[in-house]
Amino acid sequence: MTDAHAMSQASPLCFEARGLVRTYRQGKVTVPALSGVDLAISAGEFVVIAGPSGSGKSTLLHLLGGLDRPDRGSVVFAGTDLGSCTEAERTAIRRDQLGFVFQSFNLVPVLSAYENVEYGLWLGGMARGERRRLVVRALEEVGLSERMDHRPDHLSGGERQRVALARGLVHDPIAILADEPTASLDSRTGATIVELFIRINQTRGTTFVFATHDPAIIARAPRLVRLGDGRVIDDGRGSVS
Amino acid sequence: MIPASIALRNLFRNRRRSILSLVIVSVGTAGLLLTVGFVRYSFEGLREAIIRGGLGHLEVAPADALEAGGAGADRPGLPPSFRDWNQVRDVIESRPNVLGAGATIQFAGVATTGDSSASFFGVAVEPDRERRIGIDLRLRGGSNLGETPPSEGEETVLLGIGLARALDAGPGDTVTLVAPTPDASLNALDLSVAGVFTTGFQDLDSRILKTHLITAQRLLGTDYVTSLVVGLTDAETADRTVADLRAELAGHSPPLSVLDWETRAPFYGQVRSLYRSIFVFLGIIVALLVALSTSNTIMMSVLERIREFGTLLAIGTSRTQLAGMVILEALWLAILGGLGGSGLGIALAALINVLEIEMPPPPAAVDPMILALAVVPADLLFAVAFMAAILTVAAIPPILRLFRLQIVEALGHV
Repeated sequence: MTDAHAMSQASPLCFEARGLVRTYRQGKVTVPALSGVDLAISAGEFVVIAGPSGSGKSTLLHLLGGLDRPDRGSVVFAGTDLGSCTEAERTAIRRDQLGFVFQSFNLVPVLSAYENVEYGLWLGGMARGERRRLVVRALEEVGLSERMDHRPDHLSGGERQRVALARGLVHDPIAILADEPTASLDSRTGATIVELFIRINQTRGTTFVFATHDPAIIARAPRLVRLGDGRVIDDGRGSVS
Repeated sequence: MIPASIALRNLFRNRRRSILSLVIVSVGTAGLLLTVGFVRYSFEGLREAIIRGGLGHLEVAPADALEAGGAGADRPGLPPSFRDWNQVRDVIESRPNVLGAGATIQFAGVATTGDSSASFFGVAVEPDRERRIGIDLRLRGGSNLGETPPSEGEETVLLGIGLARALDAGPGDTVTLVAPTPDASLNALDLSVAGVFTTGFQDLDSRILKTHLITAQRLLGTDYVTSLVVGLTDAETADRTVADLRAELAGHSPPLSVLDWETRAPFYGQVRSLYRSIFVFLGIIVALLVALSTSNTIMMSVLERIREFGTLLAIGTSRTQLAGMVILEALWLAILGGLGGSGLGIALAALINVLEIEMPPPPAAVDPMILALAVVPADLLFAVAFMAAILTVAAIPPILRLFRLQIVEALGHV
């Protein structure tokens, strides 16, 4: 049993996926993305989901984050079965309890770094003063307090991803889901970003779930879940070859 | 974080396309304003022409005469039956918003110069009261009736330009009027032609003549009048004054009717309905053109940002909030385009008014029409509000697209 497994048994579950099946239609062809995935992730874990392209990493992340619904199976997040939630409830969960970081940063180009981070808090109806306090803290945490008035097109790739991370963590979510967060960055910047993610995981205790095939992240993963052909083929760092 | 500010920034992400859309909205707004301005000017011009052409703002007449002759402006052939018109006039003229109440007699008969004869429709008036009320006379030759009542043998008459032509008479000539009296006999009077005038309408000009009240009373052998024509300081007070006078004159015997100018000139309502229909038709065309072109622009703007919308949905934006963002962008387009179009419309209206472009006379009218536009502040508000409504409707197809958006597909959109 690895350290990760030991921790997962000691902490309450953050995500619990059971028998996840998801297929997509491409024209007349049905493409299986996930073919029965079971996965339990404890609160505070730092989990890397690895696998080749088409293995189902992103699909699994989407289902865990309530962005998509499985054809079969269930996802329980922080004790809530996402399958039984209405769209409004899932929207509220994504807004208040989850954070997302995307490969291409996905920042709103007309908003400054500050406004991009503030946006989710504004959606939640938080008072302006409290928003400011949290946004400044989040941007300081990712080392961007000097660049908060800059728009994304005036930031480097690494800085954009820091803003995206600040946006994902500003509301102190239970978990952050990151889909290939270093894929658009050079290796050095990517490594810095990973360090940042790990530090936040350790200091805030936020659960991190990464989908990646970046060897630098895989090498540092406390827990590695490998997917192949839509199934979990390996779960645990000790099994990484 | 102000949604309106974000919407404005989004609007100008694609400057060229947004500017093109703004031009479309501006031109549409300016087109609407010019149309409204033309219609308004025409209504106001027609109203003033009717009121100042002789109808005044109100008319007070015995109810039985109106029942027999109808509420329209022309009621010749009925003998004057308003006996105590002087006392009633005192009541009416005691009101502060009344400029004056002029007694009139409408009568019909035959005019002859000896060589030529023609039937006429006569209007006998008190020239001093007419001037006080503000009733205009468009003289085409000679002079107006004198203000003081003429002595017997010195009576004068004004001939409609068509009637003068038919009689081959002009200023200085003598015309004999023959008309039936209330006791069913015929009377005749020789009058000197003081001048020739036009009402602006060809048909009326070929029949009408005007003379002094006392002259008609001598011709008809009566002291009575047909009605009192009342002029007000402000046309907008006509409805209220009609109600007040009806209440005040309710106990009069025989009963009196009080009519406003619109009731007496039903063709004004018909013209208004026609213009309104034309305006609604034009408005629908403008609305369709603006809606179709801007809907395409808004749709393009949404499709270009599919991944961004997917991200916003992913991080907890509801679809209703996304729809609100799109509507805000559409409203900015309406407001900016509406304001731009208002400026353009005002400038064009001012230019057109300065140029005094001459238009052909309207059907049955005599004088050419000067193209002029009356744009008022309320029109600007209306135009912007109208554009806002159109743009909101134009945003519906893109919003429906957003409501069908799958988050995962949107995040993968390139």
